[in-house]
Amino acid sequence: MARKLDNYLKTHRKRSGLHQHEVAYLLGTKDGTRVGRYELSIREPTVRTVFALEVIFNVPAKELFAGIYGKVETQTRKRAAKLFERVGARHQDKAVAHKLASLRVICNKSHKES
Amino acid sequence: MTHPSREIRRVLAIDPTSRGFGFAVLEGPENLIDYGTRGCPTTAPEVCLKRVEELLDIFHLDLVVLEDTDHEDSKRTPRIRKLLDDMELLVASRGVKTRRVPTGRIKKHFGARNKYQVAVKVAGQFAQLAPRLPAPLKSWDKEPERMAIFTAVARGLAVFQHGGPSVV
Repeated sequence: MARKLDNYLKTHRKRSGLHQHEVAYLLGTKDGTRVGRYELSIREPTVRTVFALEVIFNVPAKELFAGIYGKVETQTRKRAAKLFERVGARHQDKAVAHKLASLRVICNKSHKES
Repeated sequence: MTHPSREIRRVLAIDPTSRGFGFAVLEGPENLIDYGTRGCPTTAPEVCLKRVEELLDIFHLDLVVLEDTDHEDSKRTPRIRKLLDDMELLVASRGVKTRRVPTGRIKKHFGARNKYQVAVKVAGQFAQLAPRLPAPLKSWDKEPERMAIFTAVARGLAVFQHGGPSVV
């Protein structure tokens, strides 16, 4: 099964009937070529632009950028698992136990979802 | 056993025209990811193949759906038949599966008598296509290029509904 595309900006733009230059105007930029670059994943938008796109298409950012979100999520959970092992090896006190509980939530989520 | 059509995720359907091709990318029968037309000169089929290659690069596909020109209802010219065969070879060389769907099956699937009726049903299913639906054609009218988009979407949908053993 194919993995998710990096982004679904073009899908949602076409669904909304907007042209690239119109989305560019809504984003406060001058021309549509930048929007085209976002759509083709040649350029990654800033956080402000991502939120603006969320507003424009009324779709959560994690759905607009499903592929990127998936990659970031996997990497973050892997790092959480490593950090869990590293912190767990240390002397245990209340603060460490709290930290481990937080990390366990992140790791368990990944197990449940996979 | 899972039905083959349930295992397919992202499908590219192509419908060649005399001046290029229409395409549709679907993720399941309800998600139309992209669609459009690509123009290529009739004398340069390699340009058409390059355009298909670009789509393969962008969409990381599971399956490409083409017209079954061996079927008795196909009225394609030798040039388009050759182009479709070349597309199939190109797609296979990229490790993506292909599936041939005869035009008759599309009409049967939509319960339509002609291409235009199929297009109307497709436009009803995907609202974003409705503004692109051409006016009904008179017998002397030339078919608009964008009609190929509707045929391509219909071809893709037909695969999701009638997944056969050759899909996987």
